Amino acid sequence: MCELDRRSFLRIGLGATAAASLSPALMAQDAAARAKAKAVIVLFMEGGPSHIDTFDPKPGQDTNGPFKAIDTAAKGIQICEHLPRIAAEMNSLSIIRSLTSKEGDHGRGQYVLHTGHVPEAATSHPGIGAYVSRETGTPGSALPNFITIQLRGRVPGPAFLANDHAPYPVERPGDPISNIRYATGVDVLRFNERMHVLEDLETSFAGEHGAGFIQKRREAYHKADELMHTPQLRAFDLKEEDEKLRDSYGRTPFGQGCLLARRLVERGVKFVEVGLGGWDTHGDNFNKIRGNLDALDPAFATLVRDLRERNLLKETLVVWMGEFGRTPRINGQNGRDHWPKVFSMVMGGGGIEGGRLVGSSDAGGFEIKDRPVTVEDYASTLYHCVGIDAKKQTVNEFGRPIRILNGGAPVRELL
Amino acid sequence: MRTLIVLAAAGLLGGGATDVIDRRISERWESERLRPAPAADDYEYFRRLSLDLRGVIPTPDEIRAFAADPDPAKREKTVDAWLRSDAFAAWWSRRWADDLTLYPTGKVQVVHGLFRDWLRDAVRSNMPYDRFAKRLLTAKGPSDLDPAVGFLAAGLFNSKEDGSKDIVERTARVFLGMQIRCAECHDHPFDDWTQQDFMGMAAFFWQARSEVRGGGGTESQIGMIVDDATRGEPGFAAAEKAVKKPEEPKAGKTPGPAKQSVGPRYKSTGGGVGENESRRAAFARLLTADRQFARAAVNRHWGLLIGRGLLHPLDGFSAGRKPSHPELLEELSDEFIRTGYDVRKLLRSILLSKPYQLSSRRPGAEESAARLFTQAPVAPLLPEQLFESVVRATGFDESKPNPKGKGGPGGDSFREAFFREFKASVAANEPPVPVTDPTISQALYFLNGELVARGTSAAAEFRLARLLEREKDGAKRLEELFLMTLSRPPKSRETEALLARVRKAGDSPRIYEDIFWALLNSTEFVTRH
Repeated sequence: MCELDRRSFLRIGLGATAAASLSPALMAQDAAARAKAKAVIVLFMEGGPSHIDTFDPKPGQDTNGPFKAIDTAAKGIQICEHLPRIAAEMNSLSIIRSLTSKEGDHGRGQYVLHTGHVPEAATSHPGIGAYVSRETGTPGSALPNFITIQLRGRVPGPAFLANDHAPYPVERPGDPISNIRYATGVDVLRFNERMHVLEDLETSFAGEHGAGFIQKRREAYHKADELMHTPQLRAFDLKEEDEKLRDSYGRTPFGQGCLLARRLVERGVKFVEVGLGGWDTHGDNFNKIRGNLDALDPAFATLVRDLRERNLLKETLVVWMGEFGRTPRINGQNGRDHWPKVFSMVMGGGGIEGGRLVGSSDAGGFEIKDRPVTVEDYASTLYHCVGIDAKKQTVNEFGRPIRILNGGAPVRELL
Repeated sequence: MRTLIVLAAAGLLGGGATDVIDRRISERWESERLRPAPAADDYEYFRRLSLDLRGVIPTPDEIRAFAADPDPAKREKTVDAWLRSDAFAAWWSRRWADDLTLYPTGKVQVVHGLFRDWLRDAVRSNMPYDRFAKRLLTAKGPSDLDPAVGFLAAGLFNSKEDGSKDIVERTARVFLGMQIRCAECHDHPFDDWTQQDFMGMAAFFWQARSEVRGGGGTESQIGMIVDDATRGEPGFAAAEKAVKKPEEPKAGKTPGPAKQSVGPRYKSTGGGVGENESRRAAFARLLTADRQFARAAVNRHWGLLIGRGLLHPLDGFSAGRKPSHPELLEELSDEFIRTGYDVRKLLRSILLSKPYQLSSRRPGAEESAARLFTQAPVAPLLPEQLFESVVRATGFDESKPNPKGKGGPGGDSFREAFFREFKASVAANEPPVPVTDPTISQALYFLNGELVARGTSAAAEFRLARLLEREKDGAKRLEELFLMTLSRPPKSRETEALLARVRKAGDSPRIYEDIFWALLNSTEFVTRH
């Protein structure tokens, strides 16, 4: 009986959530019908990885450093020798070698790559993940539609979109997610008892002050309660996976994060972002990023293979990126500094053709040689793949109209 | 003439502006046939005042003392004491820092710490508002000697090209209550701002650059502003719509719209730079002489305290918009100028006014109530207010190591973990956005998280244990828990219902933990009302 009462209290919030999510879902039907991707996984390299030391090697040039270039499964594409397993998957992946941005500061660069907008002092733009959650998310799903793994604070949130579309942060893949279990000394009976006491307080406050503000909290508490008790939580239990597969992803937080990302999209989560930090190598670049490359290679490669073998790759867009590239010229500390002028991005799955190269940088990797691709173009491509009309306009909290994107065009060569 | 001076002197004593507010606000209630909510009782007023001026709920001892004080002027006494307190300086400058912060990442963070200290001192000394603005806009640095430079240094450092535009945009937003960014790219659609106006304003800052002194290492990451006259003037290509003039049919291809360059020109008065005057000094002079400067200041402080501006939103002044009480806004602006831009006096007049002292209790009238201030609003606490209030309510020792913290030995503190959680939706370089509704992970944080769980624990080392030890009467225990969290005693109805639960649980410490927990999770606790 306790259980019923509590749930009926919490359910009050549910009707409103479902209703609010219906109309955008209907409006998006057209674009959604064309969509190939049902989910997006972004692998975000915090700090800014060198394009030359990853996906745009410059063999024979002064700027190249000690890493060699190797052939990949895709004809005519070479990448860094320390990414051999990704090289083997190259027929499923394409590289944009002419991505460009104007933002050479970490915060601003990450903002642009996560929103498709330049930061403005006056406006907060929702993150791409928040838009994907709102436009394509399943109403009433127990798992949040937008989950970040090992990334915090830097990911722009829902801004003026509902907090429902805030990134749900997972700190350590493999661990239970934070605060999901009852506190020490609390079991289901006691939890229910507590909720009863809370319910009395809420009802009394709503009686005197009106239910306006309480409604939003009830929705969040309802979703939290649902998440605590959903069988879908198993998604976070990586022990269910085959040990060999876990090994193959690499027993690093990033590797296991990629595995978790696959388990989440399998269960209908729309946008997952996995972070790998440590790319901000102003000194001792080549030694420092070896560990990163070694974590990246098995994780990314296994993710692509695993998705493909489960027949999920064609409906899951996978993106690899950082906030900018790094200076081609190697500095006095054997490091590389920030370089937003030209850098690389990798895309695959979800409607993206594999084994292609888009654009190129010049011989040393300093400038764009041909086919500039802006961050807006990238975001357009992503929205196109998931079936969101990027010209759609929303009204922000001050009643000002904001478009999902102000410009850019999908990169046709990849579609 | 003599009467005018006498009246002015009366105004200075403080009652004047409050009377004006009460008269103007009541007039409208009458003419619109609105019935205001009842006056806030002492508990409601005291909690609201504490949150607004100190950023934290009051303690049970403070509440009891205030409630028991028979002095009819006790609200005035408290307002005056708190406006002079260090807690006010710390909290109010914290709110300023949010508004004046441009991209506090990387190197600018160092500048920012010194800047925050400067803001706190400015609030503590009640620096006149015009002087405050002038200092911010004309500071040269370096920041260890002239920390006011933080605002310009941050704005101009990280976004080299757009820095001066960011500065002008933020200055207009905070000090003029206007959103003018639209006019950067095209003439403002709903306003009389043109691109030329925007660039004319930006030109005052165009030659200023932010530099780092010294050559590496934290000590030397100290901002200073260098004015470089060789930078010329901002130029812009007029947006197509604006250039419909028939002067273009020259031979051959139509050239793109010519790039125009613009010198410094203050939009509303047309003023420029005087002889031997620096550009930024000229801007500061023109800004603070602008009537809109006082108007926006009044509206901003009104909005921060009452929850909604006389003109809403606070940065919504534009040609086509009227404030809800135009005469009141003008009269308060007059008063503000007349007092020499005395912020403390302005705040005081609002804090003692009728609309501020209304109750938030009255269901169902929220929408119509907001615009004409017939009722105090219910609003979520800002993250800092929430954290400080949890700590105050529970007496939790936040310096203890956090077992679930992130990073090195001991992890990050409870405070850091809390801010990470409650600001997770705000990137470091975004303007701070007050959280309006909780996220799922924030709800989980309160439902199951360590801070609330430990803070409400009856284990020996925590506050609840001491309360249960000291006080044996159930009703008195409940009263204390309510004062600790909701800053009011429970109603008899609440006491009865909870005592029934206490009896059913055999008066075990557990049930008090549960009640304490529920109080912290309640909407009444997490809101300002």
